[in-house]
This record gives sequence, C-alpha cells and structure tokens, in this order.
Amino acid sequence: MTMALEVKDLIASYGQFHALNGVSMSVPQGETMALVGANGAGKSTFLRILCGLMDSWEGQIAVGGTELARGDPLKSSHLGLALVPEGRMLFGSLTVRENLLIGQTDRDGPWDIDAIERLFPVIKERRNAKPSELSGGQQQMVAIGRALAANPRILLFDEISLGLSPAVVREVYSALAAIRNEGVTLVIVDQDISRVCNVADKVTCFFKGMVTFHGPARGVTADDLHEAYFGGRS
Amino acid sequence: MIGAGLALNYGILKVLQLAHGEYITYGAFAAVGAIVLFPGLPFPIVLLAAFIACALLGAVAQWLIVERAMSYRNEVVAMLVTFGLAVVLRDSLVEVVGADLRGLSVGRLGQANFTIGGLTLGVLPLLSLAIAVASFGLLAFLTFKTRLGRQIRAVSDLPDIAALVGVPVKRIHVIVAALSAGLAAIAGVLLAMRASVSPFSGLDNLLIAFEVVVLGGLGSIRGVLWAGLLLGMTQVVSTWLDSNAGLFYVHLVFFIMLVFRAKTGRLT
Repeated sequence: MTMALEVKDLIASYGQFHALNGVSMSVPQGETMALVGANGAGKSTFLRILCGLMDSWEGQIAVGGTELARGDPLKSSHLGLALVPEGRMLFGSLTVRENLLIGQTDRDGPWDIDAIERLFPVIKERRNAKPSELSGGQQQMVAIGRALAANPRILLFDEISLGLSPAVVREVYSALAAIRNEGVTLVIVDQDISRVCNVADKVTCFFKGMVTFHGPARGVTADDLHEAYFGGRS
Repeated sequence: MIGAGLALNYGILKVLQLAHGEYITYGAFAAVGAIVLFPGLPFPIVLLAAFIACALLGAVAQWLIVERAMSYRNEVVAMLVTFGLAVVLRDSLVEVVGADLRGLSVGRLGQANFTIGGLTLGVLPLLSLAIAVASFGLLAFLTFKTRLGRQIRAVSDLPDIAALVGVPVKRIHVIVAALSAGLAAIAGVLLAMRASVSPFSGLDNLLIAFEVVVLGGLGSIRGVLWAGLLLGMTQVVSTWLDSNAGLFYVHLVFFIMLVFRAKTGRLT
C-alpha cells in the first residue's frame, strides 16, 4: 500500500517546551485521518511542521516517499501538501477568485476553478467579493477552494468546523466526500470528534505531544477515545 | 514619486529601507553618468537606464543583505542593516564621483512654459508630473492586473500562507526591492533635472520620502500619491510666495497634519 504520509519519531519544541514527543504514524494514499486531542496536545504544531512553517524538529517525515524539507513551506507545497488553516487566513487584499487563482500550481489534477466553483457554488456567486465581505462559512469554502486549486496530494484541515454554524459544517463535511473521491488524502483536525471520526478511515489522538491512539476509525469506541484523549492509553 | 518606492518596500517587505534616499541619489547620478558617457542619448533611454541600474542594485542588496536580515523576523535588525547599506552606498559614491554637486542639463526645457487662461505653466514640471503619473499607472497595473501583482499582494497580506500556496516569497521580495529602487531612480532623475544633487542628498530625500509615506499611510500606494501631491503642491505654492522658503512649509504642513491626526485619533 502506498503511503501518502509517514512520520517516524518526530520531536518538536518551542524553546524548552516539547510540543511533540516521538510521534510516529502513517496514512495510506487516498485515506482520511482524523487527528484529535485536547488544546495544546500538539495537533497544530504537527500540521505546522508538515507545512514547513516550523523548523525546530527532529525525526523523519516522508510525503509520498520523499523526505520533507525542514521549515520550507514552498517545498512542502511542491510535495503536494496544502493547508486549510485555522481561522481561514485568506488573502484580504485579493478577491475570492484571486484567492483561488493564487492557489493554482503546476500539479495536474481535477481541481480547476470550474470544478471548485461546482463544489461550492457560492464561490462563483461571490467571485469578485473581498474575503472580509463573506460570512465565516463562505470564507471556509474559499479557503478549501484555495487549497484544492493546488491539486494537493495531502489536504490538511486545522480546526475545520471552528466558528461555523451547524448547517455550514454539514455542507463542508459533505464536500469532503467529493474531495476524497478524487483520491486526495485528508488529515482533519476537529474538536467535533464524533463527526470527524464518522468520515475518517483512521483516527490518531495526541496527548501532551504523544500519540495515545492510532488505529482504524471503524470500531473505535467512545471509551477508547475518551481514554486516549486524556492520556490513559498509549 | 519620492515616497512611492519607500511605501512599496515597507508595504510588502515590512522593512523601513533607510537606503532609499541613496537609491534616489544613485538614480540621479546614473542619469548624469549616462549623459556624460553617451552625449545626446534620448531622455527616455536615460530614464530607463537609471531605472534598470538602480533596480539591479536594489535586487542584489535585497538578495545578498536585506533578506538575511529579514530572517531574524525583527524589524529593527532589518532597519539597522539598511542604515549600514545607506552609509556604504553614500561613501562608495563619494569615492567614485567625488562630493561635487551635479545636475542634468535640460537646456531650454528648463525655462519653457505656456499659458492657459492667464495661468503660466512650466513644461518641465508638467513633464515630471506626467512621468510620475505614468509610473504610478504602470505600478497600479502591475499590482492589480497581473499574476505577479497577485503574488505581491498575497506576500504583503500573509507571507507564510503565500509560501504555502506556492508563491516564491524570497523571489517576490527581490522583485519588490528592485521595483522600489527603480522608482527611487526615476524620482532621482526627475530631481536632477530641476536641481543639483550631491552624493550627500540621500538623507534629505529620505526625510521627504518619510514624510510622504507617513502622511499617506505606511504601505498605501494610493495614500502616498495623495500625500505626495499635497506636499508637492505645498512646495510649489510656498516657493511662489517666498522663494527663500526651501522646504520649511513642506515640513510645517507635515507637522500640522500629524498634530491634526493626533488630535483626531487618526495616527495610522
């Protein structure tokens, strides 16, 4: 089985504070992994490392079999990693359409602007608007669209449903199915554990920078996750 | 025009480029040098040569020096490095061309004027205005209508996220530094057509550039255009009323605007 992402003995720190402590995991190509854990467990740090936004780490990370460069977001992008960041982080001086256009890379794939606008029709309706004129849900759709425009191998979501209404969260999650059908590997961080586990093939739980659960989502029980969430199992 | 490059540099790179005044001076001296080496060279070619020379200088300085200073993610470090760069550039120029005042000879163009409705207008100031407006127009087209402009705005908004979506951030920094220095060069050529310039003029020019940029808003090209027009008109009117005024009224207007903003809470 081809691995989209392989992580071995990952250690990361902010000064004296160890944010990740020997994280190892793997995600097969085309699968969806839910990444859960309490605040400060190391989920966002993990995503920041994958995206090249942090360079103080040790260990091995391979994306599609190629070793990840340290602290180089451009190289992470070339390897096929794309991020839908927490808080959306859209380019405020660009229009909705420009935010999509800037996401485009040389990678071939099914996600051109038309395909993204079909996935989220509201993007087409608001194509000339600035991000500040959009609702939180619309901004999230543009952020997903911008990441998709790169035709990524692995799409990372940081706090996918944070600050969104239940109706928008349903819409975003239903779009994930279409994205996954195109063979994109998804890594989703969400505080809504039951929802994210429902769409995932694998679940990984972090506690204080360590992996306390890493296994198939099918059959995982609430008790399993409860224990892992609070560090009870390793 | 003097402030545009500084505003562009700060708006995108978030670096106060203290060598900007030196780029203006280098632009002026590049034009003077081109005329000395190739007498009779058409003015547009002189302007283009000064632009290219300073753009290259700005690009190399950014690539070799300022970009490294920016990696510390501390504005003071980058600013101090540009201060050092300014000193090196100024002293190098003195070493090569001496400390004498130079100017571009514009011949009869300097006195040429025409009258419309009783108002006498000089051809040279109008030519300067036309070049400045054309430069702003090209800059606006580049920024808002091209892929490069999209990338420049993205880097200005969120550099880390821009890199993550595949924008070559360091290359964009070099391009912006080149554009900024090139715009300074154009301002320098226009300055040398109207007044004498010495290798020590950089600091005076930097002061004016700062006033324009602070008034217009750091990083706002449109604001800089209006602030430049306001201070430029102030200089023209004050010189007309009092030929010995120099830049006194320009600084006074800047000071009044600052006080007004402080009183109304609109400091940024």
